[in-house]
Amino acid sequence: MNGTGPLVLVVEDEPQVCRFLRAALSSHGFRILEAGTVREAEQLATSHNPEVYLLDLGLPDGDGIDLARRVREWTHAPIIVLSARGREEDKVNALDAGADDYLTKPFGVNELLARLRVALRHSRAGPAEEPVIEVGPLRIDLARREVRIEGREVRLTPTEYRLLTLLARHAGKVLTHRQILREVWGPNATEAHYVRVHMAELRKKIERDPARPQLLITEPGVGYRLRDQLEPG
Amino acid sequence: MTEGAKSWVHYLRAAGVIAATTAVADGTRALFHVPDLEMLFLLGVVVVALTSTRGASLLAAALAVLAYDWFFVPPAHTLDVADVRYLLTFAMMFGVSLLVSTLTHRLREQQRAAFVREHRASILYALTRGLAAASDDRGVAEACVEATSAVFDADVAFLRVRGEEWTSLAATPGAAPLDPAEREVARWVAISGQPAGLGSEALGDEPVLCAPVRAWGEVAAVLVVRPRGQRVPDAEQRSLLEAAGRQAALALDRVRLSEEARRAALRAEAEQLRSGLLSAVSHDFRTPLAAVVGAATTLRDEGEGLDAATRRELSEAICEEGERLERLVANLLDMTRLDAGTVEPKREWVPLDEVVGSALGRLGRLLDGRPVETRLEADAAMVSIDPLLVEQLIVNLLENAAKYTPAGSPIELRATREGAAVVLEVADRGPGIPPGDEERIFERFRRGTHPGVRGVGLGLAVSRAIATVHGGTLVAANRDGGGALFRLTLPLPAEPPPPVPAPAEGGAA
Repeated sequence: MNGTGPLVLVVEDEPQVCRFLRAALSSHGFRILEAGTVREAEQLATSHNPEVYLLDLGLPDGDGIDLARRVREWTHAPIIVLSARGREEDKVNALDAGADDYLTKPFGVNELLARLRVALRHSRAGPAEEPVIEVGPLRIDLARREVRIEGREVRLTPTEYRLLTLLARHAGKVLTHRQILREVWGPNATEAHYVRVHMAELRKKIERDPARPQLLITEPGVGYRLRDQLEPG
Repeated sequence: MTEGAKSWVHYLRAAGVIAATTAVADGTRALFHVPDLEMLFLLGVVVVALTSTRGASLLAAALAVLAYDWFFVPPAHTLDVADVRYLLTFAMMFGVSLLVSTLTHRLREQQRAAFVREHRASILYALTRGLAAASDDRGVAEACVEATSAVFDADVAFLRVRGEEWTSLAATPGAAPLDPAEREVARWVAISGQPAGLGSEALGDEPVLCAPVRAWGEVAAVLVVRPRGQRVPDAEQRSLLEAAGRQAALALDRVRLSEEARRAALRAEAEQLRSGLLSAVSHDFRTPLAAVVGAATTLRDEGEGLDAATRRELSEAICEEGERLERLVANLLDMTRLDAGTVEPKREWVPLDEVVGSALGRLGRLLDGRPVETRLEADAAMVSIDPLLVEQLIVNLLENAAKYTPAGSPIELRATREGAAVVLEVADRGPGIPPGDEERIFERFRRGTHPGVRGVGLGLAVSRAIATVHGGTLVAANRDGGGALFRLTLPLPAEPPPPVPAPAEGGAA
């Protein structure tokens, strides 16, 4: 545990993945705590109060989703879930239980660092909202309710505008279909295709090639993410 | 009409026949002066014996003796007998009457038994035919109920018993559900394994008759019969019901055995698939693994001495091979899930460009340097599919195109609406498909014969399986002007729902 960067609690029982995470994180200045079980993780979490969690969902002595829920009860520190392809429901459940983001195994070091940076930025910035959000060619002026792509103004419907600003406030972070529905359509909406249809329209207006989106990224089976400017293209 | 009333008629008729015989005999004697009239009385007795019950024929014999004695045996109009000869005549009349009526009775019994046997056989035959056609427990129950309802003129229910769990598999249409007392009879039958209820030895006062269906050593079901009206089933009907229960038991056994045989065949097939898969996988996993291990050990052991470009190349190789392994695993997982038949596509209304977009995003570097032209028409915009499965399908088609065509050659992706279906086409300008192989390429573990191409040959098989679970088709053909064309047709179950705008601001957020 050296360096002066943010303290990460890695909850993962696979030694090889731990090795890779240790190498990648420490070379970027992160300080690391490691736990192989839910029990260890809870002890380390309460004794060291880490700034960010990397949480594998398949742990030998319990459910990572429950751990995320319990941790979320007493801290706002971001939780990033590690999970395999094909376990989309687990990811959605973890996100709905309070996790902030996820990484699909196998993932590269770039992806890992990008997620960590986004998560830490959001947790440090707090709720104060910047009046202007810029992501690559996209510029959203919240005060004037104005959206521009490469300087050119784009006309959005009220639904599209709310969808875009919601994603922009969480730029770089994944939002599940349910989270988006609740925020934009209200607590009783359940139809994920509302989100999809309006997202398709939104893409047509702000993506250069809607079939190969660069800004509004689909997270298959989970939700959407507005790409963060820090993430390499 | 009751049994008593019937026999009373028989006795009356016997008396009538003898009275008529007496009258005829009297007339005959007046006209022709025939001395031996006992033959006429014998005829009367035989007629009664042939057509009536045994009691009535004995009555006829007695009456004949009396009438003959009274009217015709001297001294007339007394019961005295002057000649001993007549005693022999009387005995003969009784004897013949007894003999004929016994024979007739036996004949009639046999006739009745034959009729009952035939009736029973025809009912059981109809039942067996119904049961033979049944392919599951419910079919057995329905056949059983249909056959027995007709025989008993009754409401019949077939209750399956599994431990404490009772399921009514079939019942006569319109029959009232069983009340608690009736259920109690069924429960008693299930526990004792003996028939019980209406008309039988046990619980004979209950309103229903129940027979057990004993399969594989225990009571698997109970047949409940509730006769319409007040009729009590007789012994014959009860035994018929028991026979129906035995037939149903045999049918349940057969259904279970054939189900087990089918499962065993499936298991064997799955086993065969698994071993085929294993040999293909162990070979095809090793190739990328060899590349990864080779590159990684080179980096570890020689890293210092390598120039930057070589190091970068080795790292790239590790990444690419790793990604290849990842796609391989994804297909393997899908294939096993699709094979197990457990995949029920989770259909959602999704914009097609979203699915195509995330497929293109997932392939990433594999498509580098290739122009990929996508043209998705507006009326094919919304599709009802499982987005994860169809994304895998598109990834496989694109990966296939990338694998079998020269680097840099274009790939086209088009979606159009054709009637009630959406058609997605992936086309390339590669060497195309060898003629005659258009179907075979969808078989498992089949690979194109291009040098330097790797993979387990699962991608297209998985793609077709995904199309099939969506009720669609996936076919391949060669294009005019060279190259292969894969055509996916997905039927749309309904028109896409209209988009719903968010409620006015402040209402939700």
